[in-house]
Amino acid sequence: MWRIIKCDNACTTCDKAQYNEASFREKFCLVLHIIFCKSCREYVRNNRKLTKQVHSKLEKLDPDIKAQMQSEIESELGKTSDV
Amino acid sequence: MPKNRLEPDKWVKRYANYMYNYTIVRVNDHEIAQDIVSETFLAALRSKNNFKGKSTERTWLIAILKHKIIDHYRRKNTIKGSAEVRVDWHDEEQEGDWLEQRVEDERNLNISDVIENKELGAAILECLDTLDETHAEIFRLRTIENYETEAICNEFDITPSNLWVIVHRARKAMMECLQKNWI
Repeated sequence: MWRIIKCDNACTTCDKAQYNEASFREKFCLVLHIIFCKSCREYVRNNRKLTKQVHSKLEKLDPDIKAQMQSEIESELGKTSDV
Repeated sequence: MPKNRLEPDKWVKRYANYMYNYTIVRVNDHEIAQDIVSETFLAALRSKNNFKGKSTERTWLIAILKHKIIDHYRRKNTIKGSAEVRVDWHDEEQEGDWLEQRVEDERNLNISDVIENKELGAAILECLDTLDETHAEIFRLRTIENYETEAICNEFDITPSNLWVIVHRARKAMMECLQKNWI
């Protein structure tokens, strides 16, 4: 197999890599694969771009604020269940 | 995952980041956005008996959130309006017309802002809405709410390879949508 892995596998590895879940071996195979495969190279590029866009444009709430919201909900839930 | 039932104790984990982003592209202020999101959760809790189960939990929460955002703009306009009355009190000739027009303008501007905000952040959320519902849900949980892969698999009762197929389709659809609507 001159492409080392199939395109499907390459795409999955690339998706996993966006969430830091690809192993070293998988990433290594992906790099070799995209040297030869133009369509996967394109996919990798767009996929990285999407990750970058989501990370730069979508914000994450501070964990403390989330905890505060959670406790507000829980205390409100407690009140209603008492009634 | 049981559909169309409310599970308030999981709201923050499931939707907080998404709702926060939904709000921030519309009000453009972090603190106000946080307040609106937490107000929305409380309002939803108070009216949870009105939930008929016809829509998903997310759609229902977003509907309440939209009302809260509109309320925010109404409040803002009222405050502005009353300040302007005081400033322009002496200008007898123009005062009435000017104030009315001003307030109306302001409100229209806000509404069109809400509808036509084409910022990339808004475009991402809009594209998310065009995806298949389950795909969007899984992509949202994994990417925006930072759920672990395993947690999603448990919640949706799917295998990790199912999950990656769904994530792949969702990402592909997102890329296409963003390329079409944003560049």
